[in-house]
Amino acid sequence: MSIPFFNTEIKFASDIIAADLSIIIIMAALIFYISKTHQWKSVWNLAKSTDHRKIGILYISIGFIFFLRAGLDALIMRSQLAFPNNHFWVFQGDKYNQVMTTHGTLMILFVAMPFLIGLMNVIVPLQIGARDLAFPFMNALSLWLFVIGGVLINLSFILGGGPSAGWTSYVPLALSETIQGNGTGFYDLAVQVSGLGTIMAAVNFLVTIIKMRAPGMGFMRLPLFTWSAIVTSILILAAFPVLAVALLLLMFDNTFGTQFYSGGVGNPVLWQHLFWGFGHPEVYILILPAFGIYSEVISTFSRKSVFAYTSMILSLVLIGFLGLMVWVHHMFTVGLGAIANVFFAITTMLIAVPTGIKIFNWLFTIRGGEVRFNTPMLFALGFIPSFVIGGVTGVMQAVVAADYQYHDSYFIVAHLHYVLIAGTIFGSFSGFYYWWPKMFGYILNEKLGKWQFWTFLIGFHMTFFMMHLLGLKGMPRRVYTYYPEDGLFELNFISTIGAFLMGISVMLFIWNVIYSWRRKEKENVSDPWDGRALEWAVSSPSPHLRWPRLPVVRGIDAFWHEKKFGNEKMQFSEKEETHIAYEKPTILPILLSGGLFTISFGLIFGLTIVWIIGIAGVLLLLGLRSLRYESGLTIYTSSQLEKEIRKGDGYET
Amino acid sequence: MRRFSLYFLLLLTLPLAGCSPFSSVAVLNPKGEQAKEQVDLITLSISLMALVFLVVLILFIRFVYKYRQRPGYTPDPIHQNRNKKFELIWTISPFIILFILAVPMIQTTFGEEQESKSPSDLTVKVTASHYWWRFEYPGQGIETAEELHLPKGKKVTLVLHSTDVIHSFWVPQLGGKLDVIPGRTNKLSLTPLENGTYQGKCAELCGKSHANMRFKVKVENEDDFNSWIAGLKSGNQTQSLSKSEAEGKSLFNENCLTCHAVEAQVENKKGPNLAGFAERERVAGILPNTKEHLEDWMKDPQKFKPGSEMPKVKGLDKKEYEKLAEYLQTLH
Repeated sequence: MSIPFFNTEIKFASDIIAADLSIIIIMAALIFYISKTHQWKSVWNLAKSTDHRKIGILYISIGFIFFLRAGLDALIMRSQLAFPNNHFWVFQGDKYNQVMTTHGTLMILFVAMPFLIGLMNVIVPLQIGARDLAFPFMNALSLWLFVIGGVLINLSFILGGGPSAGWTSYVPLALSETIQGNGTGFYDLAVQVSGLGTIMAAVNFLVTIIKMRAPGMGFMRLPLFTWSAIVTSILILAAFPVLAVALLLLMFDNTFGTQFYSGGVGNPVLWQHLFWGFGHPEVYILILPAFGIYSEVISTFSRKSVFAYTSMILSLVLIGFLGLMVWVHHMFTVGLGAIANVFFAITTMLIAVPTGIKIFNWLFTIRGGEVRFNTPMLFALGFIPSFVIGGVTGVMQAVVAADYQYHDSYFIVAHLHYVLIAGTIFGSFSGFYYWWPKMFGYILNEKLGKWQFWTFLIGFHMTFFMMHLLGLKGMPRRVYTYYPEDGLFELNFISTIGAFLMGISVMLFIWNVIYSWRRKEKENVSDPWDGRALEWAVSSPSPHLRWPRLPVVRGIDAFWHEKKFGNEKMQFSEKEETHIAYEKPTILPILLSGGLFTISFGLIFGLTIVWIIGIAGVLLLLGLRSLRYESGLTIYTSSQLEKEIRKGDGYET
Repeated sequence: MRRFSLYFLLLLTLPLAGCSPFSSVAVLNPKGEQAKEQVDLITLSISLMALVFLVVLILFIRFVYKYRQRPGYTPDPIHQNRNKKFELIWTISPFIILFILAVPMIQTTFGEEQESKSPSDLTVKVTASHYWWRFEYPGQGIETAEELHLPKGKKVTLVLHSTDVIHSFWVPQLGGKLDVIPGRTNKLSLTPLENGTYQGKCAELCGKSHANMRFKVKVENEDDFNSWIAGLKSGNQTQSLSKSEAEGKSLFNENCLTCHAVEAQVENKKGPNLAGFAERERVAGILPNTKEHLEDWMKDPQKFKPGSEMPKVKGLDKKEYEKLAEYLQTLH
C-alpha cells in the first residue's frame, strides 16, 4: 500500500509500519508519563530555558535518543551482514544504504557533536568562572536548530525514503534517480540547519572563553577541556562555513536543477574537496574535546596535575592547525596525481607527532600518581591503547600507495570506528560518568558502570578489530552483502556478536541512569572525585544563579590549588558588580527553529508557498528578538544576586 | 621484555611476508607487480606501527600497575611535571619513524605514477555503469564484459570511464584501486605476474547494487590470451546449432538483441556484450553460470541485482526460457 505525499509517495512496507508504530508508542508513553507525573510545567520550562546547564543536558539527552536510533541502524546492518547472501528483513540494496547513511550522518553530526557540545555547555562556564555563556539566547537557538536538524533526518525514513548516498553524500550519486524520495533533500537541509547552530555555538564558546574568565584565570591557567573547546571552536568556524557552501550548492543542484556537481558541465570532485575541507577538520572537532575530557579525568584520578601542560596546549593547537590541511587524504584514489597525494600524505603523517606527544603526556601523568579506577577513569584508560590502534592505522593509511589498497575497504571502517568510538564515544562516556553529579546532582552507580565499561570495551574490539582483516581480504565498505566464496563469513559473524554486546552495554548505561536516579546517592555530590578544576567548587547540580562575587583563581587546577593551601573553598573577589545580566527564559529560540523547519520542509517537498511562509516567519521572529534586547535580561548587582540566591533554593556557592 | 617484543614483532610480520595462514587475505597475497610493491609498504608500516603500539602498551601497563592506589602505597609528593629528556625522545623519535616510512612511500607513489604514464603493452578501456563493467580492447578491436582477460607479465593500462556515478576499480590481488569518475579519465597500470582468476570489485558506493558490482580478472599466458582474442573475433559462424538452440537464437534476436551483442566486434550497445558467454564463470558477474541461474536471472534481474537496468524478459513460457539459456551457452 502506498499513499502520495506531496512530490513523493510513502510505501507502507513492514519496516515503515514498524517505524511508525514505534514512534507512536514511544510518543504516547512519553505523553502519558509526563501527564501522570504532572511534569508539563517542567517540560515548558526546559523548552524556554537559557541556562547553560539545562541546555547542555538537553543537547546530551536528545543526542542520546539519536544515539539509540543510529545504534539500532548499526545492529540492523550487522544483522544483515552476519551471514553471506543474507536476507535480513528488508535491509538489502537501497534500504541498507538508507540505514547505513543515516547511521553515519546521525552518529557524527547528531550524536558525537551534541555529546561534546553538551558537555562543553555544562562545564566550560563553570571551569572558567563565568555565570553563563556570553549569548544565552543564541545558545538556546543553537540547541533547537540541532534538534530540528536531527528530527528532519530521522523523519526522512518514514516520509518516502531517507538519504542513501553515504554520510559523505558523494555526487553524482546523491543527485541520481537511484535515491528514493527526497533523501538527499532531507540530508542537505538537516545538516545545513544544524550546522548553522554549530557555527553559533562556536562563536558563543569563543567569546565566552575570551571575555568572561574569572579574575586570575589567565589563558595559561585554563583547564585543558576549556582549551580544547577554544581550538574546537576555531576549527568549527573554519570548517562549517565550507560545509554550508557545499550544501547550498547541493541544494541548488538538487532542488533547482543547477549543474555544479554534475559529471558533464560541473565537477563531482568539487564536492569531494568541499566536503572533506569540512569533513577532515570535523574529525578533529570530534576528537579534541574528548582529548580535553581525558586530560581532566586522567589528571583527577591520578591525583596529579597534567604532565607538560604547555606542550598539551601546543599539541592541541598543532593538531587543529594541521587538521585543516590534510583533507585530500580522503581522496587519494581520485587520481589527483602523485605530487598532491604525497604532499597531503606528509601533512597527515605529521599529525601523528603532536598526537603522540599527547599520548605520552597522559601516560606520564599517570606515572608517579595514585591511580583510582572509577568508571570515568576506566573509560579514559581504555581509550589509550584502543585509540593508539586507530592512530597507527591512520598513519598506515597516510602511506599513499598502500592506501590504494585500504581506501574504501573495511579497513577504513575499522580505522574510523577505532578513532571515533575509542576516542569520542569513550570520551563522552568518561565525561558523562565524571560530570554526571555536576549535571544532575547524583552519582552513577560504580558497579553497573564497570559492567558497562567492560562490555563496551570487549564488544568494541570484537566488532571492529575484525574489520581490519575484512578490508585486507577485499571487502569494500558500504556493501549490503557478500558471497559464500569470499571467505568473509567468520569475521563478519564475530563482528556482529560484538556489535550486539555493545548494544547490551548501552542498555546497561540506560539502566544505570534509572537505577542511580532512584537511589539518589547524594553524599558528597558536589566534589565526589576530589576534583581539581573550578567546576567542583560549586554545588551539584550547578546552580544557574551563582557567584555574586567571582572566584579568584590563583593557579592551574584552581580548586586543587585552594585545597592544597588548606582552604575548603575558593576565595572570592571583593569587587561589587553592578551589571550582572541573566537572560530571561524565552520561547523565541524554539519558534525560530520552527520557522527554519518550515523552510526546510518546503524546500524538501518542493512547496514554494511553504518555504516562503517559513522565511517570512523567521524574519518576523528575528524582528521581535531585536526589540527584546534589554527587556529580555534580568540585571542584578552583586548584593542583589546574593540575596536572590539566599532566598532561592538554598544553593550555596 | 625486549626479547619478548622482538619475538612478537616477528610473529606479526611473518604472515605478512605471504606465508600460508594469510594466503586467504587477498591484499596480502599479491599476484601483480603493483600489489607486491604495496604489500612491501604495508608490511613495513605494520611493523613500525606495531613497534609504536607495543611501546605505548608496555608503558601503559607498567604505569597503571605500578602507580595504582592500594594500601601501603604513598606516591612521591613531589610531582614531576616536566622531563626534558623524555619529552625530546617522544618528539624526535616519531619524526625518525615517519621518515623511514615516508621515503619508500614517496618512491613508490611517484614510481607508480611514472609507470602509468609510460607506454604499456596493452590498453583496455574500462567503462563502469550501474552495475556492470564493459571492457574494450581498442588495439584488438573487440569488446567484452564482466570478465577481464589479461596476459601474464605484460604491463596493461586501464583507461577508466563512467557513464553515471562514481565507481572504483579494484582487483585486490593485482593492485590498489582507482576511482572511475564521470567527466574524468583516470589511468591505472597493472602488471599481473601469475596465471589465475582474481576477484574484482567496485569499491565506491554507487547505489543499490554496489555490493553486486563484481567482475573477474583472468590472467593467462600470452598465447592463451591471443587465442582467446582470436576465438572471440572468429565468433560463432562456424558452429552448428541444434533445433532448440536455433529457436533460442531467434528468441534472443526478438527479445535481447537491442541491448546485447553476440559478436565481440560490435561495440557500445546498451548492455554487456555476450560474445564468449559460455566461457564466463558468472552470469551478470555474480551468479554461477548454469542454465538454471541464467533462467532465474532473466526472469527477475532485480531479485539478484536490485536497481539493475536489465528489464525482466517477459512473455516467454518455461520451455522458451530454457531454449534461450541453451542458446546463450553456445556463445563462444
